[in-house]
Amino acid sequence: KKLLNCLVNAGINCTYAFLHAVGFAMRDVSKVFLGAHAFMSNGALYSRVGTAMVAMMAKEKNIPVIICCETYKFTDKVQLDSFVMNEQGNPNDIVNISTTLAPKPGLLSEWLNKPDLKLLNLLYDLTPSKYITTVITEVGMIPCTSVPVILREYK
Amino acid sequence: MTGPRDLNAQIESLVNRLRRRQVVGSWCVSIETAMLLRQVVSATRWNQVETLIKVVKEDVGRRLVMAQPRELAVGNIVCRVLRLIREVYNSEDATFDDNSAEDNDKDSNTDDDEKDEEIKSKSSQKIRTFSFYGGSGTGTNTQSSMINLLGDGSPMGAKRASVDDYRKPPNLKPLIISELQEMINELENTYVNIIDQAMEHIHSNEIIMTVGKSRTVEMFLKTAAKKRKFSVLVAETFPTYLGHEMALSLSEAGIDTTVISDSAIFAVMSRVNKVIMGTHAVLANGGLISVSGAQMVATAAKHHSKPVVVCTGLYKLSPLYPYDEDSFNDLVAPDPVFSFNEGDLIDKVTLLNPYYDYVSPELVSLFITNTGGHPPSYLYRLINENYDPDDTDI
Repeated sequence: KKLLNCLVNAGINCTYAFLHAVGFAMRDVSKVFLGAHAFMSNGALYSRVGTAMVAMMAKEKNIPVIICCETYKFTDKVQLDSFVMNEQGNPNDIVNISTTLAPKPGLLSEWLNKPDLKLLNLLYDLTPSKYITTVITEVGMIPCTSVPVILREYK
Repeated sequence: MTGPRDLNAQIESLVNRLRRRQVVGSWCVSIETAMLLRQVVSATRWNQVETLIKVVKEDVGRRLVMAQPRELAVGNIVCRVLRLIREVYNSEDATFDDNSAEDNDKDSNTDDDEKDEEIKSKSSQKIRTFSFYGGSGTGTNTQSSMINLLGDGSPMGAKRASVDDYRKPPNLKPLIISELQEMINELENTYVNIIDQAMEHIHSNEIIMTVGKSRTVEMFLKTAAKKRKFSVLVAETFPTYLGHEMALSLSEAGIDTTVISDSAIFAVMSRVNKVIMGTHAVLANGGLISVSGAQMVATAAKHHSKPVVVCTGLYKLSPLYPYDEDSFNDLVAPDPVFSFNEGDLIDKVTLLNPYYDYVSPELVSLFITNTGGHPPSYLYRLINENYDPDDTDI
């Protein structure tokens, strides 16, 4: 929403939707811009959870995915999927719902008492390199597989 | 016997309840529509089949479909009933008038050429086995579409006109009603037939992902949980939060359930073994009209090469084709996405909140229905068996 605020104040025509509408909204899209938290040496993007989903849907429809990322976020690490290293947020964020459509707000508020019910709130996910078209950095536009090359330059 | 006024009142009541969305869920809608149509068949006065078909299709059927066009199950049941009526009529007519087996053409396309020879010779022996699904193949004398293409494909009405005047099969009404009752029983047993297949598809220590809240999937998983130990990941399905209800219900049945946010679906997909979901409707090409978010799950599953299984009753299969995906979608109130107290951004921003999602047939691996498991490529056969091409304009 902060991004939305900035863009609207800059005078850009905006449409706002939640992630579930990404299939519906993707039809009118010609380019996708995403931000990064970190970039792995195997060209995979480590970013906020949901990024991978958007990148994958765009790739399905052959829409270019452009990542804006500074080179200080590049790292030597290699990671294959979102599970091997991740961070869990507060599970109670999933319980907290404050929308008017929800029939019983806080349906899961007793989840601690139910032995078989667990909540998982992941904060990050990994986007494989095949979904990324190009990365925009302060040294120029590079393909995501050139990340280790840039890192080597800095050493 | 209910008079026409009572019948009208019943029709009005169902139309109003559909319009106000007071009948919730495709299954309830299907059963109510089927029962109402049974009333219509028994209470209306009709002498010729054409009259009955006209009443069911135009007077009652169209009104019901218009009341809630998003609820495709209504149209499905009406089409099924019309098909039933025509089948009963044709098979009765075949035995009623056995010298002219030639005359009893019908525009249904269910047989191979080899079967035709067999059936033509059988028709004079009047063997009529009438199971709802097998019926069109083994009992009635139907001809393949190729033969109809070459010339005999006149609509049933034109040929029948001269025949009906002096020959009417006498016991059509009770036959039609008994077939309708069979259909209603089959609808009521839909869940039983589906959950019988649960054990074949789920094995121990599997991680299954599901999205949204589907009664069918719930019963499917609960049945399997009686004998197998597995875990389920439920996506919370914002903004309706149906995933929460589903998770609660599953965990109460003793299934190890974890709720994840929609954004984490891709992240966890690498650990999931298969995706099982329900759907609102199935279209003629095998595509799904499902809860918003289902397309994400199906695409993510395809990218990780995980099978996507859809549990649905056959009453959700619609003969409509998605020429335009949007025609089946509703954009509902954007309040959950961006509520009014967020300030004056509202005027400058467009908000999207689609209720349904279209999932393309390439993403679905298997349909588990009350008649067994079918790949999406088989659905056209089921449509041919259960619906007539003349009825898709309801």
